[in-house]
Amino acid sequence: MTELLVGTSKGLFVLEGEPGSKFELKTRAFVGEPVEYAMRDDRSGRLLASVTSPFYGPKIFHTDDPSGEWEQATGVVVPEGEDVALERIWSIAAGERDGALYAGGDPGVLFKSVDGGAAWQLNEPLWKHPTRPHWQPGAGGLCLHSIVPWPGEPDRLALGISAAGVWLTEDGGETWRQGNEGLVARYGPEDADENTIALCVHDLKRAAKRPERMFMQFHGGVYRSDNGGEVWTDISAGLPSDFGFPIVLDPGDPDSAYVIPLSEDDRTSPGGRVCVYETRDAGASWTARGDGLPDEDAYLTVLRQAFGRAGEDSALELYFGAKSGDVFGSSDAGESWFTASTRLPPVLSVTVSG
Amino acid sequence: MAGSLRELEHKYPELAGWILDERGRIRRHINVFVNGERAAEDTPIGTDDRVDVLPAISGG
Repeated sequence: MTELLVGTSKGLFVLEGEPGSKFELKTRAFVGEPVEYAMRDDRSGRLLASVTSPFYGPKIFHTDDPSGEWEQATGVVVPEGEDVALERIWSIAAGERDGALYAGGDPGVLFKSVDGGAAWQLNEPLWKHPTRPHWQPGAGGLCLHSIVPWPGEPDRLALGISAAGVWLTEDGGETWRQGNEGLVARYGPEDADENTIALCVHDLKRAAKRPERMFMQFHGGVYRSDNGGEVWTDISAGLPSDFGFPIVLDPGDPDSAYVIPLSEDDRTSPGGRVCVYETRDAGASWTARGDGLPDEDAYLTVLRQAFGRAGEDSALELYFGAKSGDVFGSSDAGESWFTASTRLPPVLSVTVSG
Repeated sequence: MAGSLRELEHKYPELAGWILDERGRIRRHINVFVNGERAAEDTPIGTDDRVDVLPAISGG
């Protein structure tokens, strides 16, 4: 049985099912509220959700039972007295230490919890970083959306911020430095400073079995780094479009990555054909994986947090949702796809637990 | 007004962040009234005034 946590513009949908057929709706939560992200911490079983009420602002909630009461987490605020407010929490990720969790949000903020998500604390060194006045928001805001731990090394972390590039720490977030060499901001003027910080990272992931290797979906370009995010190489040759939002890896194969190309013009499936692309040679070549996906007049938009996975190797399960309200799944590492749900509200995020 | 709402948050900590944001601004879709008149952060409040805090009616 597979569980999907589907964050939508109208609440959280918890779906359950056997891969291959339509999933059952188990429960809803935060009905009518935008749920940007929800995840189950496999270590504790606890569910966490980020919710941005248009009335009451962004909050993180947690529960052990999604159909029961949710409790509001504390500390998810930026300092008072500055002319800045927290706009949104984009992502929640498990850290390497037991009970450690990270949350990233707009305006380019990182929070950490050491108690499984009940209490949070702002990372001050990133908040006060001297380059911050030069950080520019992307179309979705100044969003810290990617939080990438290093397996077995709890003090090492990589972050992706749109549009302020990649940030790396080796001391648990006491100091931060950039990791942007090789990234090309095609959207900037031709004579733009090659050291620009205005880098629109869309998603960032690390290969579990080779942690110095990372993959990135950029705003125009898919990249790989083999040195922990210091230097990046474009690997998008062979894709129908190098624009897209999410990127997902098979944790069993450090040469693997999956992307969902979108047309750069309108952010929808190129040519009305929904297709996932897979590499198994670290980006040297890409294979179309569209068997079972809509292939005619289907102009879907798949957002950055709306592509999740569980398992690995031949048992890799992949799921993605679209703004159309459709959720598609594969239980054979992308070889074939089925419709897990349809006619949900616009899907903002999909995470998977077994 | 802003000071009174902050006092309210201190008295009822579970309200913190629900009416005012970190800047001390009333959230965009929250409406505050003094004696039935629409008010803002800098609206003065007297001891006998009545304050209503209401979320906006919205759709979509």
